[in-house]
Amino acid sequence: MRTTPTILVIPTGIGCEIGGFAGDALPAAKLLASATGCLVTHPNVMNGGMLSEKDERIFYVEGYSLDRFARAEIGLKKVNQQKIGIIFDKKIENEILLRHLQVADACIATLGIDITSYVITDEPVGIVISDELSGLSSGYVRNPETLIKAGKSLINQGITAIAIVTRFPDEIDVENVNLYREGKGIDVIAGVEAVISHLISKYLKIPCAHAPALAPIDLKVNLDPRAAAEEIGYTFLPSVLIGLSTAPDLIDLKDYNDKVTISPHDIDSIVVPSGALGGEAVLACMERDLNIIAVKNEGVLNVSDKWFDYKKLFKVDNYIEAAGLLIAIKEGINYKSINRPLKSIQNCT
Amino acid sequence: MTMRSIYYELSLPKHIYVKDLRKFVIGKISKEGELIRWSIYDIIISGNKKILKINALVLN
Repeated sequence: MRTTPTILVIPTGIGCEIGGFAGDALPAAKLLASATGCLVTHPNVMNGGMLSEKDERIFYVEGYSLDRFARAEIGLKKVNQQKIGIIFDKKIENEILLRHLQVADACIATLGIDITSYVITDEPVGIVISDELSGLSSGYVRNPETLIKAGKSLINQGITAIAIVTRFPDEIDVENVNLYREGKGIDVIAGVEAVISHLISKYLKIPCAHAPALAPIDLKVNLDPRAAAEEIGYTFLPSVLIGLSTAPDLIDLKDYNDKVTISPHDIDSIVVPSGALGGEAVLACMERDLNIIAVKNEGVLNVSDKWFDYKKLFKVDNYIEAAGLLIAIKEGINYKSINRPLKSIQNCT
Repeated sequence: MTMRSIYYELSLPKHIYVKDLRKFVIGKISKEGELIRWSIYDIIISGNKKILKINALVLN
């Protein structure tokens, strides 16, 4: 079957209408996977708290590694199953920890996922949520070393992918959390989540993803459907474990002897919100002369095509149109032939 | 090891090609430490200059 391997990026914590909530870009990802036959995307697109889905055509790659893939530094190798280990933040209370351990057991018992061991960090990770940049989700961790050390100990035990669960402060800005739950704001914790998984990817170079541990929150009546996947259980861990269970191995292209399933050189296009062209994956794809498919998907950023003189940038109104464009690319159909008015060829002598 | 969130403003040279933009940005901000995550979050015009606003998480 003909495929056109494509990257889908919806950056974490920028409040996109699609993909700014709880795995609410997953249907769009499935559509694009169907159109292309092969989609490489990241946890923010796929993780819906308690809900997620496996799709043979979708490669689940954490953001830092996805940037490396876009820079053509690594390839992706399909595996039947990853052996997952979990890092738990020392700050997580016993009751919340027990909930997470039961989720892991449930994923083994019900989904057949291979989760072999967990470690608790020596020190609290120290999550700091920052509001320095108004409207953007951001932050950092006070103790990155304890996370890296815990991850190394799991790797020494033979695990091949890492789920990370850290305790987020209870004193999160309630007003903004409520706006998010009503579909009117950004996910205030998402930016730090991305930082944590980027850190582990950078230093340990294996598949990973993050789930926050939070104290239970009150039932909300006017909940936006896009945020609902985070309200139906005690943890956000299931989607992370489902994603990691078949996440591809990351193969360094500098010195590999291994066969990769997808090389970065197989990629034709990257699909990205039209206001989020300032991320590293997009800029790396421009550097490599790939198609940039900029989808109207409003968020808080406005780094749009008006700032970039790039010939292979295609603007579309939604992910359905992006799917059509990708099918045209896959099938070798000139998309201009389908648009009207149709211009005559030009004399350029 | 200390993680910091930094905000950087870079004046864009007039004749830089978009294909060279990523390396240009990294060349400037990587002096601050090991890069964990970064992006251009805004672009503004100031006088006759185009200014890139960048947020980066770095480790020192």
